[in-house]
Amino acid sequence: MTRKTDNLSNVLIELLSAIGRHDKQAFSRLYQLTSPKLYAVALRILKDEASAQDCLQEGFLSVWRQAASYQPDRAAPMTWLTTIIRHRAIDLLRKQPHDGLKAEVEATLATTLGRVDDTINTLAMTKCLAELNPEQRDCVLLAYYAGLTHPELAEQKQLPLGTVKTWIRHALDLLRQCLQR
Amino acid sequence: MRYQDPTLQDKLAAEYVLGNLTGQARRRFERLLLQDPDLQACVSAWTSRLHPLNDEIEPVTPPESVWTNIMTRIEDATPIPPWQNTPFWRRIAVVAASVLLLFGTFVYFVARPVKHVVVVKNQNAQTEWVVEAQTRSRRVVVRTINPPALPKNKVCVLWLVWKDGRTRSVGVLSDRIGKTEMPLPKELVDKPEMATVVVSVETRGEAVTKPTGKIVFNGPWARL
Repeated sequence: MTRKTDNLSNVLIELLSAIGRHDKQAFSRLYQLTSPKLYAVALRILKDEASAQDCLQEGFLSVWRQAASYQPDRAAPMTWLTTIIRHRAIDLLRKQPHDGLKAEVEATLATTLGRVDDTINTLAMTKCLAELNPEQRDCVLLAYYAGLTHPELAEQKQLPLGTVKTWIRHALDLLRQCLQR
Repeated sequence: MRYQDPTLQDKLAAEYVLGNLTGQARRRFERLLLQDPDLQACVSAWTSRLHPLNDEIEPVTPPESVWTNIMTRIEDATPIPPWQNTPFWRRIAVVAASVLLLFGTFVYFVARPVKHVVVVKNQNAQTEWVVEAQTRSRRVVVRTINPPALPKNKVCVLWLVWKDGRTRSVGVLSDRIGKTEMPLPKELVDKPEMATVVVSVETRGEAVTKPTGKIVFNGPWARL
C-alpha cells in the first residue's frame, strides 16, 4: 500500500471505531470520504443510477449497524466497505430482470477491460491479470465488475456452461498462485 | 462433511467473492460462512486478493438525496427517549414518585434521628457501658453491661469535653446492669461529634464541674 492509502486506512479505521459508538459526525465524514468510490462500485455492477443509489443507501445503513463488529486485522477498511456494497449490489442485481444483458456486457467491456492495465494501481494484480489468456481474463473481470453468473457468462461467450466454470476456476487458481509469488 | 474440504472451501470462497455464486448455493454458503472460521479466512483472503480490481473504478459523487435518506432512516430508527414517549398522566406519576423518593432519601439520610454511640471499655477491653446520644429526642441512653467494681463511695461520671476546654457533666453511669436514660446536654444536640467522651471516677455525692478523679475512659463518638 502507498503512504496515501495507509493514511486513509488509518483515518477510516478510527472513523469506523467512532461509528461503532454511534458517532454521527464520524459517519458523515466516512460517507464524504468513501461514498464516491462505493457509489461507483455499485454503479459498475448495477448499471442503473436509481438502483446504485438504493444500494449505496442500504449499504451505508449496514455500515452504521455493523461498524462495531469491524475488525481492522481481518480486512482493510476500504475492502470491508467495498465488500458490503458489492454484496448488496449483487443481491439487487440478482433480483432484477436480465433483459439487455448483451448491451450491459458490452458496456462493461467497453468501459472496463480496455483500461484495466493502465489504472489498477497494484502492480502485482496488473501483472497477474496479464498472465491469464484473454478469454479467461474477460470472464473473471465480467464476473467481478458486472456480477455476471456462470450461465450469463456462458451465454455471453457462446460457450458451454461447464467450459466457463472451468475457465473461471482455472483463472482464479492462476491468479492466486501469481499473487502469492 | 463435504464443506470441510479446504479445496472446496477455497473454490467456493473465490466464486463467492467474484460474485458467481447465486441462488440457493449463495444463501447456503452465507449460512456456513457465519459459523466457519476457516471459510471466513478463505473469503477474507480472496476479498483482499481481488480488491485491487476496484482501483480501476473511477469515483462518482452520489446525489445529495442518498445521504439525506440515510440520515432520515437513522433518525427514524433511533429510539425515542421514554420521557418523550410517555402519556401526560404517567409523567405526573413519574414526577410524584421521584419527589417521594427524594423526600424518603432526605428523611432517611438527613432528618432521621442521628445516633452517636460510644462503647466504654476497661483496660481488659471488656465493655462496661454502651452510651448512645439521640439528638432528636435529646437524651442519652446508657446500657450498663459490665460495670467496674468500685468502692461504695465512688461512681463513674460521664463527661463531654470540647476542644476549646468546655466540659459538661452528663451524669453518673449506673452500676446496675440494664438501661438508664439522661437528658442530652444542649451543646451536644447540634454537634455532638465535636465533643470527646470522658469517664472519670468521682466521689459519690460531690458536685464537680470537671473530672477530678482518675480518668478511666477517653474517646470519640461513633455516628450511626
